[in-house]
Amino acid sequence: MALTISCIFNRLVLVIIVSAVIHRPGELSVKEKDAQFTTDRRMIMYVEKDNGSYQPIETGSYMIQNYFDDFLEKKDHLQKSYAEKLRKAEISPIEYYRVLLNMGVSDLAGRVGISTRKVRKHLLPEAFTSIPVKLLQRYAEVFRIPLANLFQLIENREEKVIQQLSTQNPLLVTTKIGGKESERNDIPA
Amino acid sequence: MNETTFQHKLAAHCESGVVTSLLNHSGVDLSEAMVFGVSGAIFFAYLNNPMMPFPTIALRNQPGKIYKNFSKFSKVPFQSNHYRNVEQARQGLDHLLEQNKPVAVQVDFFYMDYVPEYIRAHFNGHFVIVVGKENGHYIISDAYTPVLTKLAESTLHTARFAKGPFKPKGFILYRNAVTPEVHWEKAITRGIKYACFNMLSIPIPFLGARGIRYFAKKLPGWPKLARDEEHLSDEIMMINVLLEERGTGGGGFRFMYAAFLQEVAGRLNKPALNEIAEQMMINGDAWRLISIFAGKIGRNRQLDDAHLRELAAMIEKRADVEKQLFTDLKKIIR
Repeated sequence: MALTISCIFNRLVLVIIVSAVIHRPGELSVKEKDAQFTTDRRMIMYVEKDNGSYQPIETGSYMIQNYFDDFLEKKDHLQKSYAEKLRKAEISPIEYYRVLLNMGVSDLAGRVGISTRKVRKHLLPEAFTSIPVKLLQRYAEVFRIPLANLFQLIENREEKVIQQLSTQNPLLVTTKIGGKESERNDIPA
Repeated sequence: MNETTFQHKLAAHCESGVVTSLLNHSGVDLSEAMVFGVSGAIFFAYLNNPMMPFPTIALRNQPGKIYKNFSKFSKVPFQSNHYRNVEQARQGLDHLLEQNKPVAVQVDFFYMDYVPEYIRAHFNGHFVIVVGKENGHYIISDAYTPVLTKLAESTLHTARFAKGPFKPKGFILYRNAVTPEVHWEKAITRGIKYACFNMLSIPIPFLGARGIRYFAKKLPGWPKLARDEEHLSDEIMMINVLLEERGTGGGGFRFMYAAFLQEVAGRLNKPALNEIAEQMMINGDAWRLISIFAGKIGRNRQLDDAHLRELAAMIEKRADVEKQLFTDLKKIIR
């Protein structure tokens, strides 16, 4: 009996939440006036205009306007927890970057050009040490990081400008710390 | 350089936006909704395969199908080419740009340096239009950016030859020929029939209207697949992103499809399509409520079984509605 009352109560709460979502003015809805968001990221949404026609309008992102802080917080937690696993040698750097870039194992294998089985092996720290440098280079290209970053974590606590510039030597990267934001080279290493 | 004559426009979706822009540039006045509808791109799929780190949904058919189907159904010719290597692809693109032709290219979205880093992800099914070249950079018209933008030459070519699923192989798409007289009624009918077939008749449980039901069935099992609560929250909120933000025009393409149906009701002289358009808009609004609800429970970490089942019930209702909607549409268009 108590369980049934609890279930009914839960459903009631949910109905109230959904109703609030439906009727809250200024929330995302099919009407043009309710689909105006002011984020930097612009996008096209189809809405119902006052004259009843369905037309595209330019607007901003509902998600960024409402949940961007939550997104960044989760991303930060994920990076920190996987960096910690990396420091404790529980995972390999391949797994670290794979998770941060939200890639499937098969997708990564296809992009690097090796079997899924091999990639699974490379996710473990003990197998990482036996990966040939040429193959590590291919992983680094897919992750779009300098090869050196598979062997180091860079913590920028003072929020200085850090540039990693490629050199003619494909194995070597020059890391510049400091300088001005305006001097940043846009082309990644 | 033809970036001065090319009219860059934001679009709801990259591929339909690219096709629309190429058509508009060559003198064919057509809306993005028409391109989307004629190509029969509306769809639903619940995808869970080793390529993906987590199950996901697709709300349109596979990348590359919009221009192919549009051209096939409308008989409007497009020129396209794949290349074996970067050098050939570079020469092919530059040669067309010298002739002042805007050229659509297929790329890996991860290399689009002009979009914020937090939305970049490896996805080989992105389309942009290259409209010019200067000082080692290509001038890019991307449907997701409000103005023309630039991309380093080497970066674009890397993006054109990314490996993995849907690899672009240097794909280009452009228009040469004068557009023949188009029998739009025929093209629209074929596009709608194609969409109805995809939504109703593919005998695979995770595709079409069946796929929506399959999604609803699988959703309560997501906690077992997630690393932790934050991961689950992220994936639940991704439902919102996929429905509203990732180039759908809102409501998982359903609003754009409603705009298409409203537009063609007059052309086909079938007022009943206006009724379906209205129902499609209501359907899109229901998808929007699903995305808002997913955003809220994800943010508030209300990821218990009861909330997930509530979300699943909302989704399952869409399966019934879409099955009915596309059945009615099929009857009208027959």
